Amino acid sequence: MSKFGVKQIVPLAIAAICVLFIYTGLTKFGFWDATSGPTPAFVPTIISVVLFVICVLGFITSFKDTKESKFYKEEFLVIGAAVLIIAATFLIGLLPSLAVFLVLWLKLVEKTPWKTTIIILLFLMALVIGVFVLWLGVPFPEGLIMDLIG
Amino acid sequence: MENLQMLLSGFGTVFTPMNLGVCLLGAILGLIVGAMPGIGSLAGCALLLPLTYKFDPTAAIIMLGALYYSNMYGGAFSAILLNIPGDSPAVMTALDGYPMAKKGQPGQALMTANFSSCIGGFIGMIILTFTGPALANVGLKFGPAEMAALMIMALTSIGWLLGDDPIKGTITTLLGFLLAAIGMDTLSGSPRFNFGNIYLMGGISFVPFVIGTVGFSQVIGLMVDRYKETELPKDKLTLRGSMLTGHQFRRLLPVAIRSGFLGTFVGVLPGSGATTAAFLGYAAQKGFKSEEPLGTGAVEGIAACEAANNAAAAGSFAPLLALGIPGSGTGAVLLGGLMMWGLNPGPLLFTNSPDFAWGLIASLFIANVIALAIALGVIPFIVKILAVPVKYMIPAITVICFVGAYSTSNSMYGVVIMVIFGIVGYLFNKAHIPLAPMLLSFVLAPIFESNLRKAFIMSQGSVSIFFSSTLSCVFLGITLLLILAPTIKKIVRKVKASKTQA
Amino acid sequence: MKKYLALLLALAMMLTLLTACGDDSSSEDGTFTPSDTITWYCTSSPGGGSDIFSRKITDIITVNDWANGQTFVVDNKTDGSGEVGRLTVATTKAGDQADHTLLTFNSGDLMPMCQNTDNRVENFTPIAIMAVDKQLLFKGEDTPYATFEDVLAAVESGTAVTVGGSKGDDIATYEALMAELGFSETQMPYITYDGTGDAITALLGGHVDLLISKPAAASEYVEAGMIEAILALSNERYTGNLADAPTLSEVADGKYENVEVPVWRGVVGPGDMSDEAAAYWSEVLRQVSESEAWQTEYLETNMLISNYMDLASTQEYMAQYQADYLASIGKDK
Repeated sequence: MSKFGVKQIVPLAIAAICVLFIYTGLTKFGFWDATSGPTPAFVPTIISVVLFVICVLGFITSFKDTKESKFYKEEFLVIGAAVLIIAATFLIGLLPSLAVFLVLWLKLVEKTPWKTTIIILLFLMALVIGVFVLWLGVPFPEGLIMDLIG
Repeated sequence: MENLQMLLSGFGTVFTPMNLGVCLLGAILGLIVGAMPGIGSLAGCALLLPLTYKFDPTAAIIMLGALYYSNMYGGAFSAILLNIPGDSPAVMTALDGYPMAKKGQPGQALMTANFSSCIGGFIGMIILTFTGPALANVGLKFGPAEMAALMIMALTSIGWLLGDDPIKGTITTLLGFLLAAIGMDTLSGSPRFNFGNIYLMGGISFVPFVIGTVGFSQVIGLMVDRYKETELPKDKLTLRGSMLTGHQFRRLLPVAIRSGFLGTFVGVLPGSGATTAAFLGYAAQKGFKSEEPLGTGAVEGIAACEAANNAAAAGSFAPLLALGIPGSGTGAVLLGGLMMWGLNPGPLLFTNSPDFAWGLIASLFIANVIALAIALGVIPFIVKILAVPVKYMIPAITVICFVGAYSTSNSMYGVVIMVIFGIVGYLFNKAHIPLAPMLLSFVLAPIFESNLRKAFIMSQGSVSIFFSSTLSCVFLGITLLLILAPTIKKIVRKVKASKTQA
Repeated sequence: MKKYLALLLALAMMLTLLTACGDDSSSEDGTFTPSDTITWYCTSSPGGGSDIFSRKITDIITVNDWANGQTFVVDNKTDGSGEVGRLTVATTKAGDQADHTLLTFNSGDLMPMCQNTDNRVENFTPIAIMAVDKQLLFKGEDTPYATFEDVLAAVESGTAVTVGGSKGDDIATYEALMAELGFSETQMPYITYDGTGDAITALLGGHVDLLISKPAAASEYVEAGMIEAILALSNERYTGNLADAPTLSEVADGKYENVEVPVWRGVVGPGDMSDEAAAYWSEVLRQVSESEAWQTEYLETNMLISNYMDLASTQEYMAQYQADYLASIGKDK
């Protein structure tokens, strides 16, 4: 029997989502309407019930699963960076946040020489600004600071 | 034969240097936009529509056609090279395309995708030429009951993709179902399962969802292996190294032709679209022999979905031109483009402006060839992406994921969805739960549910409506067979085994 | 890494403080001229009806240079079925930003907004109504009823007659019709399609009996003889190939009143937009509505009725429309 880990947490979490869906659906819409048949909660409820049962099954069988699932510290670095980019976007805007992320990442995590860092930065920014901003006209958020200055 | 003549005269209209130039330009632009994750063909066409104002109507439409086609070619690029499907049909392409690229055959994977697309597209357009408006009438026969039955069949056949652990596969399939239920319920006009959140009222947007679950989750996972030298042999990254062998070509050809016919048919159906086609093409391939198992980088897998995808795009032109009904979001944008030029696509288009209608079909043929030529020419350069060390690709793909997720709806909501599902996908990978079934059921479930409920409203809650038409009975029968197939196989095997023993 | 972050945060905070003291430049002499890029929000995806409307207007303004040479950015905010975009505009703070923000706002936007959120017209500055549209009922080749009187007879004898249509304003018109006829939703069930195109497909395939649609979307099919109008949901008959369809008061010996629920396309700004800016945009939109390009390229192609309303009438009209709608769904206090 393996340790309690992600293979057990995932089915449990999904089972919890099922309960939430069944509860919200049935209290708000009911299951079957006498005149028009299925309500908006009809299909989701059926699916949730089946999914719940399978999740319980999955939880039970998960202990026999011998495949390894190891987590590494580096992997959380990417997730952390993603969260920081979102936070920074509200301050300085998306594109500047991404540029800052690129430089910090290449310098601090990968210890890249300045020359390579600048080349990658320029190439990606040219691609993004050229295609998305200039050509397709996507209005990227400018963040609090730009709003206040501009 | 009359149709063929009309088509030839259509070619006459299209073959001017100006038109060909415009077609070329459209194909290049479409390829770039298609290869950018997050833009996809719908937004791509919409955003590029204003560009066409500068040309005369025929040139403008040719450009749009070329854009539309090469957009789909481009979608395969990011799916195969980076495992980030740019639009929903490319989810299927990535299943075999990315493993094949990893096996050291990125050029061959791209070529397979492009040749199959081209073949699929041609089959679709040839059928369109010969049947013309009549094809559209087939689609009309499909009411809610038939569509619901077809979708049940499609959803059941996701089972073919579940892999070795049916429990885990079913979990993701059904989870995709639930996630798709979040948002505005069209039939009742009220939001559901949004838990009071205004963003969730519009549902989970598909493209950020895909970029996150498949693309970003993979970036997280790459961190561990980033210093491992997975250097591809240098000669693989040239044009010569990208060439398909004669054997590979023979593998893709029958698959692409079969899938092309299937895809055209699916494309004609109202509201089913290219994703359903790509998926059914792939699922159908499971029933035929493939040299390597599907999902491990098989030529057949790429060919089956890419051919069906492009054939469906051609097929969806039938209802668009004959009835003025767009089969997809992109079709709707093209329709908008036609109307901008004072043309009224509709039942009278073929009668009132035959030159134009046939010119458009002719330009689709040319666009297909030009898009193929451009795509093939680009391959030796674009595969060089794989020579970039993984440690640089991680931040670079992260940036592209963010920009792509933002651009789908011009909002940070897309980015947040992308990151959340990136983490979900990462956890699922750790728990060895497959992701593709979730993405597919996310696309198919809403079509199924709305048709099911429409059917029930029509029949006033009676189930009989599903058995009153031959078409839906046939689909339901196939569904039953699909469900029972593994059991039947087991029994047959047991019987055989007992016979040999005896 | 921590050091860099701390530095970044400190820098950011300083900048925020500095700029927070900045001025709130607004019109000084009682008139307004655009001085910045104008963001035009549109809550449907590129290529849709609202999108074409927004882009046509901004095109005309740009071509004629009616906005002091400033550029327009059409921003398709489709999150939350458009509610996020509407909320963003409603809560835009007073000042330059509010004066340079506009939103395409239709009756089809107002209804779900009132039904599903607490956002109301009062949170916006209504600026103009540009066009109105109405609907008709159509029958297809497979429909077993020749006239609307046949439909009435069938329903009264207990046959369910299905009606297909789009979301939003088509439903509102359907409900008004049901209320006037005194039928329940079981007697004449309504089937909601994602768009009018899908509903037409269903009628052509014989999957629904009747179709509710605006004239523009259906006109081609009428011309081709594939569908036929059997009832005009307006106070007077249409012209052209729709002229044969009677209004409701003409059928059943005048037993019913006419049903007309106008579908309008309009433009609003944030609630905090200055009066000067509102007056300026109202004037610009009047010019647009009188322009040749608008008449031929937009109204005619879409078979819409021009119906420009100035600032005061727009405000009154939208408020009244909202009050009527809230009453009809039982949300008035």
